[in-house]
Amino acid sequence: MNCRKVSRWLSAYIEGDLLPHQAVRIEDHLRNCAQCREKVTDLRLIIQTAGELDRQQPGPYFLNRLLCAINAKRQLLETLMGWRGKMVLSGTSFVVAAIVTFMAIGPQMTYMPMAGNPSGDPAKMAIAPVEKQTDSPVQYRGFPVPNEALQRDMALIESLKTDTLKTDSIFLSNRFIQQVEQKR
Amino acid sequence: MDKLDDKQLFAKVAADDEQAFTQFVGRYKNRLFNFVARIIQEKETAEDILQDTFLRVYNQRKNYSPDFAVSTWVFTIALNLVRSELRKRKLRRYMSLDFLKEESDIEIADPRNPEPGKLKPILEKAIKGLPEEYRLAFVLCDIERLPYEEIAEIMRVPVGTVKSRINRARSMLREKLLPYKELNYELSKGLPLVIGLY
Repeated sequence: MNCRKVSRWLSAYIEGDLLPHQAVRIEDHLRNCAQCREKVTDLRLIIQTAGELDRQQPGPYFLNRLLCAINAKRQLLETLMGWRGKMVLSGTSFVVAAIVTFMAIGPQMTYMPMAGNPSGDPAKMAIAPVEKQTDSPVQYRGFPVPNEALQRDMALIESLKTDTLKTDSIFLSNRFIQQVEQKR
Repeated sequence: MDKLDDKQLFAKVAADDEQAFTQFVGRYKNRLFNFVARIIQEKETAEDILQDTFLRVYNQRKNYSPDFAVSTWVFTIALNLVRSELRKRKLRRYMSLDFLKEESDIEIADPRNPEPGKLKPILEKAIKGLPEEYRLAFVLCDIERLPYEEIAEIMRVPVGTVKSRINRARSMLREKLLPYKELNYELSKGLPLVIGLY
């Protein structure tokens, strides 16, 4: 037996946990190996000292603290099982039931027929996507003229081209203004 | 009630005998605390874990199976809580990057002039430095003096694994204590001190 094998069995040897023939083999090795003998001595000392180490203890009020915690838990259970608890539980269950009902029925309510959507078809409920306004190329005093205003003006100009009466009246009024300015 | 063995006493606890529960807590609190505190190494947390252990024992008192020893059952509950706390700590340590700090193995106040007969604090510190599973096995075996079979049940590993871990833990402790021996430290009380072989 070499030192490596012996070291694996030393704890068992110290505790008398080996079979007699195994113990004899270990003892044979120990008789001739001072290093392993010393290891046995050290291990015995470690085991002995470990058993003598000061035992750590909980604080003096530990038992009171524990019993208070148990009582508090018991009181909580009793409260939950008592009439107050039942009230709280029934209130809580009512709120939960209301939420569940809303979650179940709520989405269907949007499909119900209503004003503006008599069919109740959700596709018709959808709001048309808003078209992105393109920036107007025409500006007045640095501000872009809205497209709607521009289109309205263009339509007016087109109508003026065809409507001679209006054109004449504008022409006349312009001439009138020019005359007034000249008189000034 | 003092003369009742653990199973008889716990049968009374299961029958809602409050006095028996107080007696039971008195019987186990120091053993459990000593075990938990040596692994957790923080008194306040150890006391919280001890309280949680007894709360669980109280809540599960009707579910206890007499096939197991009461001590095995109670230590298993404590060990589960200890492992849970250690997991949380590992995560916190990882998050806070504390693991980057290196801790010195064992501090020697004055290696040239060690105080004689002070092996206990050195051994305490060496035990703290053991890896978790070895420390658990060593504390349960050599400090709490529980039999191998019970330790195996508590740790949920085979008896052979327990024996091997304990043997390894003792060897590691010896290696940690060797510098003291080399410094002509009085390791033993009356045992022959061999110097110069290492």
